[in-house]
Amino acid sequence: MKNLIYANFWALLIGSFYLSYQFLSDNFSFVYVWQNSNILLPIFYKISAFWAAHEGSFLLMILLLAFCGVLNNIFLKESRYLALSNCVLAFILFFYLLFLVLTSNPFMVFDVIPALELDLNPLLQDPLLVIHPPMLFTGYVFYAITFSFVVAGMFTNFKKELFSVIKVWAGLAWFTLSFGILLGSIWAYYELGWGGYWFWDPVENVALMPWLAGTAFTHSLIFSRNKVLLSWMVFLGILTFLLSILGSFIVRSGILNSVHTFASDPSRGVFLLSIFALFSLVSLGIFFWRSNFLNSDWPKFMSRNYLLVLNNIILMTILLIVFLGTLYPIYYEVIYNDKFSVGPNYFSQLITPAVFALISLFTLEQFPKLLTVNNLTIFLLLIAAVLIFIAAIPIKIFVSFGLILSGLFLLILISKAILNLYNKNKSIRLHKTLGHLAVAWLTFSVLLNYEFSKNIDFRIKPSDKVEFMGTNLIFKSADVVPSQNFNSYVANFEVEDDGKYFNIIAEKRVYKAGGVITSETGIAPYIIKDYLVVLGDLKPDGSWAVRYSIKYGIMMIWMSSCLLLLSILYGTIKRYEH
Amino acid sequence: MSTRAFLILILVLLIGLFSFFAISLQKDEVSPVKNQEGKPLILDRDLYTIENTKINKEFLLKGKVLLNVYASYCTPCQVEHPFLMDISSSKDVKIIGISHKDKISETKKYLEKLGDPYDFSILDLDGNFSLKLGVIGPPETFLIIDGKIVAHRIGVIDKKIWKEEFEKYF
Repeated sequence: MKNLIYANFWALLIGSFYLSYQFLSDNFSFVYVWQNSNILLPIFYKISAFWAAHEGSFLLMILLLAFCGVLNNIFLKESRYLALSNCVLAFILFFYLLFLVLTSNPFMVFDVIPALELDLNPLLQDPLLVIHPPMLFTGYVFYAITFSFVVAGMFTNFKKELFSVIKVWAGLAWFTLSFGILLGSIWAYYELGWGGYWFWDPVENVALMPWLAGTAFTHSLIFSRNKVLLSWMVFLGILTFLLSILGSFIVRSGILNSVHTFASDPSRGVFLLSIFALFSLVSLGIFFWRSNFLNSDWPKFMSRNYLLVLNNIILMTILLIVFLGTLYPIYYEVIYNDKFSVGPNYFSQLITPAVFALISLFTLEQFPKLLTVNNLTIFLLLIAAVLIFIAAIPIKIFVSFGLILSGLFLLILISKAILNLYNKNKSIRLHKTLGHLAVAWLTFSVLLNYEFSKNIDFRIKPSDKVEFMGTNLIFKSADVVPSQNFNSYVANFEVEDDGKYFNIIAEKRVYKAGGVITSETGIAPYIIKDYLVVLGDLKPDGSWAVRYSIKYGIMMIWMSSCLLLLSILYGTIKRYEH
Repeated sequence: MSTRAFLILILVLLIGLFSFFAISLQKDEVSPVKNQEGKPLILDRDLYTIENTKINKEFLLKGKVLLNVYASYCTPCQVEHPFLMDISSSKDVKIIGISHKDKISETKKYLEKLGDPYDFSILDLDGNFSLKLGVIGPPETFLIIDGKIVAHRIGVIDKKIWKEEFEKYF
């Protein structure tokens, strides 16, 4: 089995190099090369065109999966669970390869080479977008590896070394998936220029679902120390993997219409659905068959493990909300034969309370004394809640209760962390403290952004001035700047805010070939708020249509997400050292 | 006992999920946008051709008119172009183009290169006329009989679509 995994990897690697070579040598007799490349494309994009569409990206994903299998066999001692994990991997590889060869072969060749060449969408020629999709499916691949070990564990009774292997892979998977999602978000904000960073688009949700399950999974691994709720952990490991396949099914079958849909072909959909059905039935079948092996105890009431159970329940609730909101349109279409969309309000209004419950949980966890339940602590907590509520009433006129609450939690967490640092408290885990802090910070920034961001649309002539939210926007000049492949209208703006002056350059490009018009949003990012200017059309009277927005907290959203990523990475490295 | 109940519950849910997906995959695409069929053609402003001559509104409101929204920057328009050439030579219908948010010089270059199937092309620099028609983006094709929209195709038009939706009016 081990040698088969090696052979599979080398074969895939050679195949991939062969395809890459066709891109670099502009061999347009390959359908996939013809569709995704162009003689004029820079070499960087010729390499990345490999995974620019469905077929190549799936090949890359399979290659990665085989590579991880090879890594396992190099670094892990030979054991029963490794052999079993190899079997599971081989099973997954077999069906993925079957899918690739039968429905989406990237090595297809034209009988007659067509003359016209297509080009990558200019929006997609972006370095961020080149690494965003592979990052996401690297996360999926890592979760497939954890899945293989979880299945192996069901047959070998979860030894201690197996747990440490699962922990490292789960940490890596969690990190990569989070990173991939963050990259997509950053790309959407800077490149699409709509001023948003998350749209609750089905394809985003589909990446978020395995992330949520993975978050619950990583947390549930903490149980492993005393084998509490083992079967629940196993279930989460399986669920995370199944959700990642569901993700590929939804994105690649074209079942949902979305900006991201890039391969609509019913035969692919049917095949992927069959793979999804097969994997879920087999893995859940094994789960129920072996579940009597996994005797599980419930943790003590209000113990740390009990809080972890609560955490998992809340995460599962959020997952369910996202799941329903994403898939409901499909049900609706099947039953009523009509279109239906679920808006962002559904998600934000249902998820916000759940996130608050999550934050209160891990804030509470910082104070173990409060967890020893007696009448006094309950009384203290109640008093605190009432006091917060009363104190919030006068401030509530300016900001919402949610913002106050998240700010308060953030303050508590920061002061507790500083206190722990000051007392040189040895028992704290840095990655946990920082990660939880980052989540509270992220929530605070998201709410800040939601509450205060505003925009205004107007027409403006050069050297005119517009006042908005205490800032002045001065339109200094507009010039036409010809460039090699596009003409660009460059507008210079100056923003005056509280005595500070800075420039924003908004641009509108009209591409010479194809005539595509793109708008380059001018963004001046600062820690508290971002200033955005989008240039619209030039009106006959010489004025320009302009949208000016002030977005709060965007920088803090990126910073807190990066902190979260760093703490996940640090935690994974720590586990590896153990 | 509870394990078995849980097992059955999960099985039922999964099978439900699979069957919904399976049905959904078989279904034809439901058009997410409103079709303009049955609505009248409203001409409240003066229209000009790309040659800058004023258009007689009566010409658009009488008889069979095939309105085709196109642009030089639109790749699918190039795909349907040969079909439009074919229609203009084989069918008795006025084919009128709407040059959608495009430079006049680019439009002319486009027609010079691929041939001009249109009786004339309406200039729609700011996209206002198309907007009132209910156009989302080129290519779109309207069949108008005596000022009433009887067929509206959003997307590329070809032989198959023509047979299904347009042929019956000829």
